[in-house]
Amino acid sequence: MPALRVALKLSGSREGGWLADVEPIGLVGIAMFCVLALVAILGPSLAPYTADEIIRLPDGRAARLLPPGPGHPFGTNGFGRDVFSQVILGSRGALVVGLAAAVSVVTVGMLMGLVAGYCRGIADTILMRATDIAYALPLEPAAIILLALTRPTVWTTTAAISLLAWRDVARVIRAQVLSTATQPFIKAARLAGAGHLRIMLRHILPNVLPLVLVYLPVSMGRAVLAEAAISFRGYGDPSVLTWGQMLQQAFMSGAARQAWWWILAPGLAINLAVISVFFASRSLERVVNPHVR
Amino acid sequence: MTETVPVPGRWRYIVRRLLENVVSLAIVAALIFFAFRLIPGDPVAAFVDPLADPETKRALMVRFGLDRPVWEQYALYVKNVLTGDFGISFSTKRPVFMDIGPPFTNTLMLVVPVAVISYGLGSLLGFVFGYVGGRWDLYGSAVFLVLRSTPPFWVGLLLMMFLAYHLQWLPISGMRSSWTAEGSFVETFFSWDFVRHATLPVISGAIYFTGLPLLVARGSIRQVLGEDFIDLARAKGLSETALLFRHAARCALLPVVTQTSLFLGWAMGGLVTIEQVFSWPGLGRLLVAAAASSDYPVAMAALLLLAVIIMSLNLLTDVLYASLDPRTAS
Repeated sequence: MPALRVALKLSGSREGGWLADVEPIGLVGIAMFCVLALVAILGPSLAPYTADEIIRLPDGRAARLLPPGPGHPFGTNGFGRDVFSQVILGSRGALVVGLAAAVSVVTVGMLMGLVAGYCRGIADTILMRATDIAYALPLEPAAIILLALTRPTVWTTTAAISLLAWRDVARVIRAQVLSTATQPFIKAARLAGAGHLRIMLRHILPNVLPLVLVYLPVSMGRAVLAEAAISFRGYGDPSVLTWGQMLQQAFMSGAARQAWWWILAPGLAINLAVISVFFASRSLERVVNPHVR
Repeated sequence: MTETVPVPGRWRYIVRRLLENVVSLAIVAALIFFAFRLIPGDPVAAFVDPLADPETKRALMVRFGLDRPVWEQYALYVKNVLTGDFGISFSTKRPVFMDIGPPFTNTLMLVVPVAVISYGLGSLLGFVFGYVGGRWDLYGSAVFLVLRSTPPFWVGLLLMMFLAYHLQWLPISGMRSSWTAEGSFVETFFSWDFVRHATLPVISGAIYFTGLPLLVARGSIRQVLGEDFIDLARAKGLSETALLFRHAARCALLPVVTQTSLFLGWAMGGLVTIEQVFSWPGLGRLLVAAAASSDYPVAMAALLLLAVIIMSLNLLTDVLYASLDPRTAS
């Protein structure tokens, strides 16, 4: 298991274990992400109201646009719904799309980079031209058009984001593979009779896996931002509440005029989610590549 | 440079890249063409408005060769595109290029200032952070990492809320005040009114996009500062400012320049939402509106136009890079 070996290498390589190498900023990121994951998992039991429950005033009217106060820490929105509960429940959509997109982006990018960088020649040319083509299309607009042509669900959104987002990972991994493949131990392995597949999986993959680990949170952060943009433009899954969708509703109802809480809360949630993974990736970078000091 | 590098090698490289780009572009065109044929229901819906009357439909079918095999259709599509014929917009009934021109200019008027601010400021700050190091570097780059984690449209909403609604310093949305008449190019874009309208969208974009060149410039300058020629320059008694900006920054700029070619693609992603927030009549808004109203010829043309521009910029950067650093051409 190369992955396990990398993990062990990371944890035991230096005195004091890998935690000693992590910048405080990275620990903050990891802690934030854990809190966020917990909120997403426990969502429905943490939220005081359901996502579409309308809060009533004593006289029976919907409590529209209540400013933050006791009972409603983030106020209520234009339909009389509790913004705090919606922010909590919206975490699930962002995290699911973000994680699923990150895993597929990193897997596809890693495989393409591995094959292109190791096989060189025609395979490299074809895969790198494919990367160029993926770079030529702007991600969010292409994803929105794709979702307009199909039916937006959580999974089509994930697919639409992943369809182009692998390009960054493929490029970075290919460069790393290229430099790894020229090292003497690869030649030694070949002389020892190792086949191409074995060299790729047993010798090169463990050397690029740390970089892959850095790109996992980075890709996740980007996917969360892309999902927010897509939902904000109204092309998210209408049946799943997300922060981007909340901002879309707020914007459409003209909340910028008076209800700052309705805009501040979901945006801050997106921001914190992305910060947490970006910071976490920075700490991984330090652990993975100790020269960056 | 011509003395050190044999010219034919460089030209061969440029020609090869050019050919590669032509092939890639043909593939992009094919991808777009066939993606729009996947539209559920009518396979010719991408070209012929399902709501048009039968005679118009038939005329369009012939014009785009839709009665012929798929590969012929694609060939005809490429031929039409090369002659600037992108079809007729379903919603305005005008040739598509007429619908795309003005939004394209309007978007360019946002993209260019955003690019100048974020790449100018970003690389400058990146060099300074990378040079001074320590506490300033740590907190400075952390701030920009945070800004890079912020959805640009949300920044736009906050700025609009505070500066336009609350303080009323700047206009809320649109590209010009309602009482001004639509004027010539110069009258439209070189007026104080336009600058006031563009300020918030440009700031929202610049805040987000400064982070990347900054981080790239910072990493790159730190690497360059560790090299021998820097010690030599210091030993020659150069001032630290001259050392940083005249010697180190010049070398460290290359990775930042490579990034610039990809900027337009990223910027379009951000502008799709920023243009929505500020009701800016640009390409991002047009693209989404076209997708929403099933105006496929417009959506296809806009996407293809963006791909052409991004690829051309990419090619230009490659050629520029090859002449700045001749080793890449070999």
